[in-house]
Amino acid sequence: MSISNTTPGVIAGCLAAACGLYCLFVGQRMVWRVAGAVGSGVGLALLWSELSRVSDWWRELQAESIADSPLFAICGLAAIVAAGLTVTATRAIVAATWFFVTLCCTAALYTLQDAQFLATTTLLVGAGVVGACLLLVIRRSAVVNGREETMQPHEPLLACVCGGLLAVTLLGTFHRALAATEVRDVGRLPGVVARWQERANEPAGQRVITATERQSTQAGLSMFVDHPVAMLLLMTVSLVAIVAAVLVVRGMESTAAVEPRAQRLQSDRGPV
Amino acid sequence: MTGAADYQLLSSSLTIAVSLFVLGAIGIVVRRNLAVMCFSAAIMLQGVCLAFCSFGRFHADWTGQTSAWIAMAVASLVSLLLSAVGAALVVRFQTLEMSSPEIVKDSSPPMASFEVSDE
Repeated sequence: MSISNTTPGVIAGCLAAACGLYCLFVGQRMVWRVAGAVGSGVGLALLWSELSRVSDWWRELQAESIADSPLFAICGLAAIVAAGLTVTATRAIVAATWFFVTLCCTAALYTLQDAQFLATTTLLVGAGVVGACLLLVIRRSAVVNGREETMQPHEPLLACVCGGLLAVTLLGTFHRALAATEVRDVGRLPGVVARWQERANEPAGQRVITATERQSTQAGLSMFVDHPVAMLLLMTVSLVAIVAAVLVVRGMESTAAVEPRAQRLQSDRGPV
Repeated sequence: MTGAADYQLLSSSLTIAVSLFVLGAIGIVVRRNLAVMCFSAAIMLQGVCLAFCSFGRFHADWTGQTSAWIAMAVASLVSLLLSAVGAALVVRFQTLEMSSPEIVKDSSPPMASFEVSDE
C-alpha cells in the first residue's frame, strides 16, 4: 500500500473535519452549527475509513517498543497539557471540555498498553461525568446567575488545527487496537455459534477474535472470579454512594420547598 | 521476563501518571470551584489508574487492570456525590464557588434536617 494512494482521502477528511469544527464552534446561526456538526462527522468518518487503508503506513509509525512510539509520546504529552488546562481554566465549561480531552488521551494510553476494556470504561465514565456536570450543575449555575456560558475559543483556527491533529492521533490509536485480531482454537462450538462461524467464513474449530474481545473476557474473569470480594465491596460502596446522592438531592428539594414558606412566615410575623 | 523496553514503558507511564496526579492535587488545593475540584479529583484518580495499569502490564498480571477498574469506579462515585453536592449548592447559594461569602458565612442547619414548624 503506497501512502500516495491514500493521501488525498486523509487530506480531504482533515479539511472536512476542520471546516466542520470551525462552523460548529464559531457559527452564530443554528444552520451553520448543524452544517458544522454534519461536516465534522463526515470528515472524521472519512478519516476513519482511510486509516483502515493506511495500516501499513501506520505500522511504520510504531517502533518495536510502545514507549518509543510517537503515538505514546503525543498522547502522553496531550494528556498532561489537557490536565493542566483543566486545572487552570477560569470557566467551568471550558474545564469540562479539557477534562474530556484528558480522558480521551488517557484512554489512548490504555489502548496502547493493550487495556482496551479499561479504555472503554474510561471514555464511558468520562462522558457520564462531563455530561452530568454540564447538564445538571454548570448549565444550571449559568442559568441561575444569568450569564451565558459559551465555548467559543480565542483562536478558532488554531484550535481547529490542534483539535484535528489530536483527533487523527486518537482515531489512529483506537483503530490500531480495534483492528488487531488473533486466531484461537476453540474446539467444537454449539450449533448457533457454529452457524455464525459459517457465516463469518471462519475455519472450523477456530475463532478469529479481536483484541477488545480477548481483553474484555480476561478482565471479566479477573474481576469476578479472581477478586470477587473486592467486587462485592465495590458494589456495596456504590449502593451507599447512590443512596447518599439521592438523600442530598432530596434535602435540596425539601429546602427549596420550605425556604419560601419560612420567608412568608417571617414576613407575616413582622420585625421583632 | 522483563526487558529494557518494558522498563522504559513503565518509567514513561509512571512519569505521565505522576504528572497527572500532581496536576490534580494542585487543582484540588488551589481552585475553589466545585466542578473544577471534581475534575481535578478525577484527574488524580486517572493517574492512579494509569500507574496500576502500567504495573499490571509490567508484571504480566491482570490484578493491575482490575485495581485500575476499581479505582475508576470509585472516581465515578466521587463524581456522582460531588455532582449532587454541586446541584444542592447551586439551588441554595446560586454558585459553585466554595469561597463565596454566602457559603463561608452560612450558619443555617444542614439541608437534610432543615425543618420549620407552623407555630
